[in-house]
Amino acid sequence: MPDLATHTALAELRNARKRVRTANIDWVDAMYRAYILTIVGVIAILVASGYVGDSDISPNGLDQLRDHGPATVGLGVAIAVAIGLRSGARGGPLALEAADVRHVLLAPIDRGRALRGAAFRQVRHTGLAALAVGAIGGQLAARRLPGNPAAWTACGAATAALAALAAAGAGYVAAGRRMSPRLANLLALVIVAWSALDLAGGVATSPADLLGAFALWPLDIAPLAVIGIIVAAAMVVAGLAFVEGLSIEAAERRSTLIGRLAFAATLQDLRTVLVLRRQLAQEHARRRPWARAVPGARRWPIWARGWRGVLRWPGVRVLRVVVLGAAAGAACAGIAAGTTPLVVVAGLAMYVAALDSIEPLAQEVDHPSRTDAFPMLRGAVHVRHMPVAAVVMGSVSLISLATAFALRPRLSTLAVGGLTMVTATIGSIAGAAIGTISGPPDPLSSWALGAPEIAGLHTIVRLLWPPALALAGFVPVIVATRLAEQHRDSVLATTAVSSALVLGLELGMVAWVYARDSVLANIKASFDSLGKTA
Amino acid sequence: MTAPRPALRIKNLAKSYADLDALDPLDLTVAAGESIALVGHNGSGKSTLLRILAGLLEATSGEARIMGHAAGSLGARAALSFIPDDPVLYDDLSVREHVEYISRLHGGPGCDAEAEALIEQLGLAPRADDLPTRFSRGLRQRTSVLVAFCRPFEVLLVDEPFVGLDAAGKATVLDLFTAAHERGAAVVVATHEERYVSRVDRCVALRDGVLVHDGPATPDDVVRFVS
Repeated sequence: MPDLATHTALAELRNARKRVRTANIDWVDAMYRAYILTIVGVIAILVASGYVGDSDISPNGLDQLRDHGPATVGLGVAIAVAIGLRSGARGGPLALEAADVRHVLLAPIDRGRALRGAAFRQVRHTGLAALAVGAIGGQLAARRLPGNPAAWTACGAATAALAALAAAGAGYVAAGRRMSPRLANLLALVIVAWSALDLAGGVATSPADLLGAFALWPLDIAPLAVIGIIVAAAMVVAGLAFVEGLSIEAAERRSTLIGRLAFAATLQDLRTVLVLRRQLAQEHARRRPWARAVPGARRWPIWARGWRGVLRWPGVRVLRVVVLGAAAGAACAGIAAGTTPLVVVAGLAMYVAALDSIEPLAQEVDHPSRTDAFPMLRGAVHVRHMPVAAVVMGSVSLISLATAFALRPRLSTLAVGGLTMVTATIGSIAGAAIGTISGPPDPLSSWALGAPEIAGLHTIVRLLWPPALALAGFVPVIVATRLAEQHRDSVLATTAVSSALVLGLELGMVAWVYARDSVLANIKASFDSLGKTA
Repeated sequence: MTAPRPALRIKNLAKSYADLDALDPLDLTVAAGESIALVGHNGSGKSTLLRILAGLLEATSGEARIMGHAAGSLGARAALSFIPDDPVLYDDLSVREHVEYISRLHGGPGCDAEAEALIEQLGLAPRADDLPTRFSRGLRQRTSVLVAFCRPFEVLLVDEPFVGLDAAGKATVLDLFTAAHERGAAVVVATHEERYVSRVDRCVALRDGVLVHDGPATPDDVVRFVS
């Protein structure tokens, strides 16, 4: 039975393990990581501040901010809480060590005490990270908004930290109370919809929006924001109180998967990250397909195999690609309205959807020995999987076009959208395919063994190139918007030319998928023969 | 006079995953001090049953009690020791530190002379200060057995303990199971190992999540249950 001695043992051993870990830290490596992180952080802040600018906001802009600012920040808070709830329904956001689940949680000690310690440490880390991000956001806001810069920084930091704590707290409550995924999704939807409706109506009524109003205190002190702060604080307190009800089954599944996920992410192994994330979300293929008949099954086995996989998509995956398509369409409408950076949202939405659409191709990548047993080049197998992905992504692009047209019902939306549909479809598939077949970087390649700066640059290019291809698919929208802003006559013709150029690049990338293995093998053979000659 | 409290009492215990029934409603009682072999083909529900009893899985319906305590409860965790089929060990603790930690978590004395003797018996003495991350499958399995035996228990549940063990390792582990049984613990082992099956009190067979046999069984019967 639990007594002071067992809890003392737990604390002592935890401290001992901490000492061992600290003693084993490679300080040179840690400092190098800190150095890289600082550089990336400074670059990100410079880019963000360049985008924000430093001119005072216009009176009209200030009015808009007063009307919609709290609900906009509140929507972000609501999304964070919704993510926390969804994670909690699957046993998150706590990620325990597998051995702790087996040995500590199965020991006769107070689980609440053991779990609260871990939850408190997670809350502390998350809160501190959010505090830093919020402070940077507050600093950037202070450059264009009236008010005391220190107050902007403090309110930004506190709001972000409270939002993070509320999200973690919501997760712990959902996990501790064993909330079903269905109920968690419903609650998440209500929370987000409430904030979205507030945003559309120019009001701030939800607790998330009231917390959002706290972020804007340097502009207007809204006393009701205190309610938002209290609700956020209450959520984290409730979370820590309820976390002891966490399902051990969920904790064990999660502990195993999170460990692998973190390892795969460290190796930049996109495919493994994707597969493990699906396992974490318990997103399994349907036992019974949506339909059994696949046209052309006898003549085109790869095409048929692709459809058999797609027809087993779980409902949640279908819903996800539909939402991603709609998000890409909404972002396109935003680009056409002049907010060019939304191209990142549109491109990433299509890229993520394409990663789902190329699942049959990814399965070949997962089982190379099986693929290599086919009497054809591996690249040929990969490319023959693309038509199914093209049909899927073509449908997603249609949803995007319909959304964009609903938001901007003009003939030009259909004309430019029609061209963009083609480039966005092919670009996202090419990007997703290249990201998947590239696999994790080879730690013994000449790139990896070169100077750290060169290796780092290569890593960044390798990571960004596939999503950049998906982003390139939206160049026609940007070109058409810019030309229309300049009142040019040849908007459609020039957009068509730009689309053709982008399409050429994308088809080149498809050709690369086909020839990649042979080209890389030839290059390696050339280097080997050069080495022998030397 | 009241009947002795059973070590395990399972009533209508069932487990399903979405549209897959892993374990149909099951009734089973194991007396204190009884030794049981749990057999069945792959996917028959053996591991699911053991993991529910250990508190790692939650039953969809029904009830399981360990020494009168609900599975997963504090009392059940104190009474039950589980050896899983996949050894789960800390990456940053040596074998000896594992024993120290787990024994003390269960209110034990830590790595005392008895634990040192167990380390010796399992052939882990030369590696007792090494980290298990560098161990072979067999050595990890021996460490997993060690940490299950370094703490007090009244019920021992074991899932496929002989995987990765050499002949000497198998013999040692079999001796440990016998000793636990002789000390009065209820021992349930999921295995088809003939040497173990031949010395148990009862054999429980599962097929597709259904209990198909509960009683004495010969090695030939076991072959029939798993084929």
